[in-house]
Amino acid sequence: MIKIKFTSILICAVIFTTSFFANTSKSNDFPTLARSEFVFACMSSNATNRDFMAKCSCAIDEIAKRISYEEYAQAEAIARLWEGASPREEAFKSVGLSKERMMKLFRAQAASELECF
Amino acid sequence: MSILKKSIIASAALALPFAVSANSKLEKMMKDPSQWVQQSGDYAGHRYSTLDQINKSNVGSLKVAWTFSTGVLRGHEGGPLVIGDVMYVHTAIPNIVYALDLNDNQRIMWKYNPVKGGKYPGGETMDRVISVMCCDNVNRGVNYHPNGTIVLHAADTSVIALDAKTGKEKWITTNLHAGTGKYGVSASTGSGQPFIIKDMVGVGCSGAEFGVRCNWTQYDINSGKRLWRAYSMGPDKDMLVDPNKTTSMLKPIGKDSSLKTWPGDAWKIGGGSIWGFYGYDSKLNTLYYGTGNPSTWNPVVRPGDNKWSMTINARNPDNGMAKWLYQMTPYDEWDYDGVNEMILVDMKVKGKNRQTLVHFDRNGFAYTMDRASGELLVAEKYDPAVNWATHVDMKTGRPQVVDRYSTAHQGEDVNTTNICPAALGSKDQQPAAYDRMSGLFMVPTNHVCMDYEPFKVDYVAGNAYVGATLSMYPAPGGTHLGNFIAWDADKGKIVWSNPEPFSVWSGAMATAGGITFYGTLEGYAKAVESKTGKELFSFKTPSGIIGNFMSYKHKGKQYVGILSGVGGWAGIGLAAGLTDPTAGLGAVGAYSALSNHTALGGVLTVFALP
Repeated sequence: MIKIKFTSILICAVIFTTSFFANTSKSNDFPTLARSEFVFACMSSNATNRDFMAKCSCAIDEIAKRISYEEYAQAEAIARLWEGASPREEAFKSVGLSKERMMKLFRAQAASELECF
Repeated sequence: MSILKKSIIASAALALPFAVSANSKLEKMMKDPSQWVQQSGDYAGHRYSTLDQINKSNVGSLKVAWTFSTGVLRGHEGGPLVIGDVMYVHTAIPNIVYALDLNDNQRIMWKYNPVKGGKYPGGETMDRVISVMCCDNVNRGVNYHPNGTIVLHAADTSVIALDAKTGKEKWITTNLHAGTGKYGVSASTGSGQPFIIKDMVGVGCSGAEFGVRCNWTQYDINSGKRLWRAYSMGPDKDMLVDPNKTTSMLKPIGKDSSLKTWPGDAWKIGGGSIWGFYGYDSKLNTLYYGTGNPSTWNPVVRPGDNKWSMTINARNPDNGMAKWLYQMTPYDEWDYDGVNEMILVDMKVKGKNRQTLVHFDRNGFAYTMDRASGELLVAEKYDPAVNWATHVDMKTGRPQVVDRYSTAHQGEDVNTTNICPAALGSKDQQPAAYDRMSGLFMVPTNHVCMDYEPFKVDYVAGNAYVGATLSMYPAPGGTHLGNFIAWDADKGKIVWSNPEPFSVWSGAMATAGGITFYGTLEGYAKAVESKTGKELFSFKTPSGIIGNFMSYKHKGKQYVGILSGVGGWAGIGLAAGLTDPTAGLGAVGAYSALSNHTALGGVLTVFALP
């Protein structure tokens, strides 16, 4: 299982640069492809049946209500970088989006879980 | 008959002793815009396609023609090759190579995986290699030799020659074997492209974070026999320099030019990695590459210029002898690796025709040099945020370092703040393109600054040998972390600059259609007008883009290809916080176990007009 580490050994600063990401909208502007990808992934990790198609579809709709697609795409990019364990990616962990900001996105997901599962 | 088949027959008929013919043959293939025969498109590193079917008036309607899933997670740098009707695609570790038949819906003709039974050819396990691999397990691509060989430089430093037609191994040699280092372990890794010149293939090495002494090694393409090796630092004979003939800033470098610049035998673990994109001028018969940072990152323990780390090397590819060297960042205090690509352009500089080499260094300066003589012509900042040096002294070639941003001047365990650029550099390895139409360089950049605190580290074999704590943030006055810029290498000036939310880590490509392609970390493949930077096209690929754009033509149609793939799959990453059972959110495992879903890894996206 892949886990996000919020700190690293050598490079561990958490920089708060919230202004860039502060523009939270509720535009519900996710492309169908992005929703489909989410549902596909969500079903793959649960079960490929009608029940989970409904739950997973509900979850992405709830997330899309809470953050804009631009923010989601940026959060995806950050999450991917967090997965890369190297000086370059480690360094990048401290850039541009703080733990707090990422947690806000997690909260959108958590809300979607509560609503839909 | 396909061009591939023709080339195999032709090279067999020509026989091997004619080294020059192999070279000219490859150069001829580079001029054919239907193919993309080397990672950089050509030896000059222009990354310029003369195809103009896709152009500024129609690029907006570009559509996905087909996609290919590599089945591998992690960072996909470099790009595919097209030789005749066959495309060659590589992946991050385990460094799989695919041959795809463009005549038959991209059917997989062969697939090669260097890792067998969990081990690389050099004997190291894949897990062990990953543990010492920098930067998201990347590989910067395979290259092609006209005798019908695809060469792979695998992560364990093995150089592998494959039959382009069948994928069968012709020969394998492991460049830097395990257990040969000073500390008894191999910490060197291979990520840079293998570089083909004449009937030779050359490779660098990665791993300066791990206290290695890196080198360039040249092999015979037919036998895999080692021809020469030039270390980045050490005694003159190790570096293949002639104290009287090798020059720097037009003057002979003299005896023991490297040894004098290191305390004791610190040069033995001196770093100086070589893993960027290289250049070759066949008329001058000169190979160009850059060396990386000296190790450790803590400058206090290695007073001196640390030659020849951070250096542009111009060498004779036949025997390795250095013609000239230019050290951009003597006594590196910031990890400004000098490995970035070398772009060779014949152009006017200050009114005079010059054979130039243009290099966008991590240190934030763009250098225009006379590539024949090694004369420094232009050295200017290509990001106005750069502050660690005021300027480069054109007489000595030395950057004029500002004490306030000198981590050595500030000392150990002192946090030096607001240094620009950050250790990532104003630009990392992602190569720039040269737009032959406008004469401008299209440069993907970082716009990031840092706080840097060196501390003492003891070298422990196989562990990161870094010795600095750093934090990074956007350059002052903005919130964006990257720019995509157009650069005038004669005047040393930015012509236009497009801000990007994240650093731009993809390689650019310019075309005769008046457009330039680049990608972003969010995964957008973009096309802009080369002259103005105006965005004309944007498409979201499945993952972040750190690969390099390429173009080819098949059955009369122009295609543009790009690899996407960064880190793990974000869908998991984004949700991973919820998979922690202690989170107490009743996560029901909604997002677990997806890491095994390999179809969500690297993807090659190929675009064409509808």
